[in-house]
Amino acid sequence: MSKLSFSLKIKLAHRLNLGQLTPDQLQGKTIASIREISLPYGMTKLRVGDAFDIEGNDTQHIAFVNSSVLMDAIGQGMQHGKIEVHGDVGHYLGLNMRGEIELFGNAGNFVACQMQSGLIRIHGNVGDFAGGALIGNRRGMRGGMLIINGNAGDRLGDQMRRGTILVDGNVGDYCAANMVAGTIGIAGKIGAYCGYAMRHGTILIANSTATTNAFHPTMVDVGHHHLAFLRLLFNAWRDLPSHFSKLTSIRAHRWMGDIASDGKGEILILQN
Amino acid sequence: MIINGIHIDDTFAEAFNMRATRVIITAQNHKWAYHAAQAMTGFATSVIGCGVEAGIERELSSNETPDGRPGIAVLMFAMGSSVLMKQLENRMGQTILTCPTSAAFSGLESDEKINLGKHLRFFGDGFQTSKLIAGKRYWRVPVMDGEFITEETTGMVRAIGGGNFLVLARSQAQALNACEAAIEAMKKVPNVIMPFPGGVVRSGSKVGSKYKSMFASTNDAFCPTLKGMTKSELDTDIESVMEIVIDGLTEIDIRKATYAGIHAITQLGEESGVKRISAGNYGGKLGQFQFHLRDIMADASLKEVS
Repeated sequence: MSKLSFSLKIKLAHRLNLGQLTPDQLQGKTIASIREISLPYGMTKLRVGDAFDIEGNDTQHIAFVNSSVLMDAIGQGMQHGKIEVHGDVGHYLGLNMRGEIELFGNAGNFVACQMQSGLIRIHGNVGDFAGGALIGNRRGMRGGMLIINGNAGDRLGDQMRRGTILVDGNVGDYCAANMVAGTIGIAGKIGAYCGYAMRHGTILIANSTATTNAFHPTMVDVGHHHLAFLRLLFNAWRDLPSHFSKLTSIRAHRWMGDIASDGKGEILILQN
Repeated sequence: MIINGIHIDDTFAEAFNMRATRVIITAQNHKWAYHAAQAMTGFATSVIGCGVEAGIERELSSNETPDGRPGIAVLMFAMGSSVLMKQLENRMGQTILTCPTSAAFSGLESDEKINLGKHLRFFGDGFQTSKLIAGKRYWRVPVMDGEFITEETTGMVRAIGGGNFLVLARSQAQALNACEAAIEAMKKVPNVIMPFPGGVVRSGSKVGSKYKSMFASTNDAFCPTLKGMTKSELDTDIESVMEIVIDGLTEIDIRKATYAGIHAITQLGEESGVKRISAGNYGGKLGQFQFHLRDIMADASLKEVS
């Protein structure tokens, strides 16, 4: 068995929705029948066989090669298996997913949106609302792990319920806004209003020079502490392909908030 | 059977079904981990009066514990799951929560779970927070020395309590000396505890009493000062008898511990003053398990830990 590889052979003119090409939806299908699948393409449809060269036969390990920023919803709703993507992609990567996705490139908005469980690793950057909820929904990411080796845009972990997001680079504004629970790690710089309206959960900033000027006034400084639970977190992260696998210091500058919401969340700025 | 001049009686120890759990206590250093673990396993010698039988299984190094700090593994046995859970929660609340720098973690993987810090978290008065890390839920309870960390639940397994053997010696000092050697060897066996003070009990009991209010009383057949007064099990030259009681997670664990203990005593030889090794039972009518001394001492596969 070799991985089922889809190589884009045309220049896309519209956004192409790939939500049907997941391990669970392709399980048991022949290559011929996969070629006939009709994908939403702008206001029209596009046959898989007309868009991609297909190689391999393992529907539980899918690869997209030569991808485009117009390719949306890769891995949407998948329940198991693995997808790897070589190149940049559009929005909604891993929407509502379980299983594993690895992206060798950059992604658009809503990566890991409402993710259920499993692992998404992004070697590049992501747009806004990664790990968040669809607009109008009240439940963001609720399990699993999202590792971003590059930077993330605004509203990272918006309304996040559970799970872990680790960002090796910088994040934009309103990181973890309305966060309900879970853990977000950031190794680079943070934008404005980090933790705005968060209720519970942990934002761990592994950058002792991170500026706190742009915290909302409803985030409360509760001082510097040695926090024993960080050892448990660091042990669990020891083998991850991320900056967070190397952390050892458990001393942190702790902020709690947002006291305009429940106020049980925390921002921890790790000290060396 | 005679080993090194010490007679092994043709008898058996009678043991019972129990429920057990293991808790890992960590602290800033072993000194404080021992303070916590000793308090937690204090007054836990027998289920009859203490609810549970508990003891320190072994010391754990920093790389064996979930939080990378020095630790102690504690085993706790009870006759049922509800009493085990109640005792565990009470003891956690009064001895681990209160002990500076300590934390508590599950030491047993099992489908059956009992509460470890699940209710203890309410001590946090709403300031407690939970963290789900690698599939396990932990609670962080703010306390005056910082934060108390505890796993929400620990595993519970079916186990065995009441394995035992008796050491019959010419004098009290010699009986105790032999028991100390046995306990040192038995401490190296995993998955067992010897719950009595120092691992040794001197007040073995029989079922029933002449007094209506007592359901157990002194085992007069093994009391050296009653040799001529009662139907004694003792020879004329035996002046002291001590017992080692063993609780273990499985039958083989108790067999290994019994072997290790008796082997350590027989290694001391006849000159140790030990004359016989026997065991306590109820005629085989009450317990679900029987540990036959001669069968155990003839089992070469148990030698590995001795």
